[in-house]
Amino acid sequence: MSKPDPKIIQFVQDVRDALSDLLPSTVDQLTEGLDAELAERSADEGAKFSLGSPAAFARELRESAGVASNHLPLTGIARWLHTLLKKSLQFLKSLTPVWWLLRALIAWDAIHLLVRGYFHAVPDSESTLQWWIIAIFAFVSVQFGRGVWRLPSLRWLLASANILVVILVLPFAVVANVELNDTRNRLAMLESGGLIAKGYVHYEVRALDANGAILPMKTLTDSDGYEIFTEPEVTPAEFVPIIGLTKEQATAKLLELGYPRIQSKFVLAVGVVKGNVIDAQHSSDAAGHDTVALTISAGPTK
Amino acid sequence: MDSTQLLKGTLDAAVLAVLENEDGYGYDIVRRLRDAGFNEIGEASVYGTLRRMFVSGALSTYVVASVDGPHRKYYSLKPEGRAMLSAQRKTWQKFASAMNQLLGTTKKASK
Repeated sequence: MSKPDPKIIQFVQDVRDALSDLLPSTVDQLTEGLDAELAERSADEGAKFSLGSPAAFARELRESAGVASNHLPLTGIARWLHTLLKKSLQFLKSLTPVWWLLRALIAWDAIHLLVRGYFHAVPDSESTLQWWIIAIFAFVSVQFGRGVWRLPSLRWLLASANILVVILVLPFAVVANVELNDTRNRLAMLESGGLIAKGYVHYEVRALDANGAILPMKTLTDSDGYEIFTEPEVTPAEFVPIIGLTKEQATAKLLELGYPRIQSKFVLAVGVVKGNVIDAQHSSDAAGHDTVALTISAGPTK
Repeated sequence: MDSTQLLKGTLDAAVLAVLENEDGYGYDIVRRLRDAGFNEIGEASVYGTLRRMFVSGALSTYVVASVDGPHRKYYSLKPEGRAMLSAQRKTWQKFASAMNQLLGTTKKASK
């Protein structure tokens, strides 16, 4: 049998669409075998063959067949709903290629479930083999979807596979959601700046001795000296009142408290008025002199 | 005078006539009508007419498998269709002879 001309298939579909206000059985009756008739004319006319307007063809067909009046006379909201439904169906139909890819992915999931014994919706990004298998599945699925490949004798098998995939869509969506959330959480952990151990982010780390007593600890490093975690510096309670003051106000306050030696450093900070004190830390040098180091906002970072 | 308008009113009779002696499928019937001189005939009109006459019981159909192309649906006249053709033939002959006479008279008068 010769291959059907895609232009003719499209033309027949357009004619059917133009008749879509009629009952489906009437549309079938009017267009049954039309592709064969057009293919015959195409073979007869050769290069001269042209299809013309499907709308005009449909009009002529329905007039001569005596079905000019709509079988479903629709008015007002019913007509609006009918149009909405028709447009929605057209939209869903335009998503068919997405379905072809989705069913390939779900088919891989089903095979993964059979081989490995557990459902794994999203393939591992580093597993090239998994992606190759999915790419092959996608190719096969698209070829069948486009009608490039046909296996009429195995139609029941393809139909069952489609039904199986439809059944698997829901569990797939649930597992995919869980897996994606998991990935998102892991990414958030990596970006959090906290210490990640055993899958959790830790913002506070304590070192305990054998008796469970807390040991003094400032920084955790790995064997190369790379800093894994630094305990956030806490402003000593006596300096808390000077946070948010200007440098001059803070200096005056520190003099009152008995700290004449003051150092200042400026850092870029978000959400702090330029020139205001962000932090104050106390230190003593070898000679026993007390010094207070002020951290002052130098304006916002971009 | 627009012959397509004339054809519209007589398409049923024309389709029944080409099926009188030999069954045919859609495009084959279009071709026979064109060969008979109805070059302007729209194929959709013929297909629609065939479907309508099938539904009304004037025609019957059967499918013939084809080796090198799609299966073809053949139309054939049922007794109801033959009766319809014979009635339409009489109507047309009456109409045509009246029209011929009228046009002939008009031609003479204008001389």
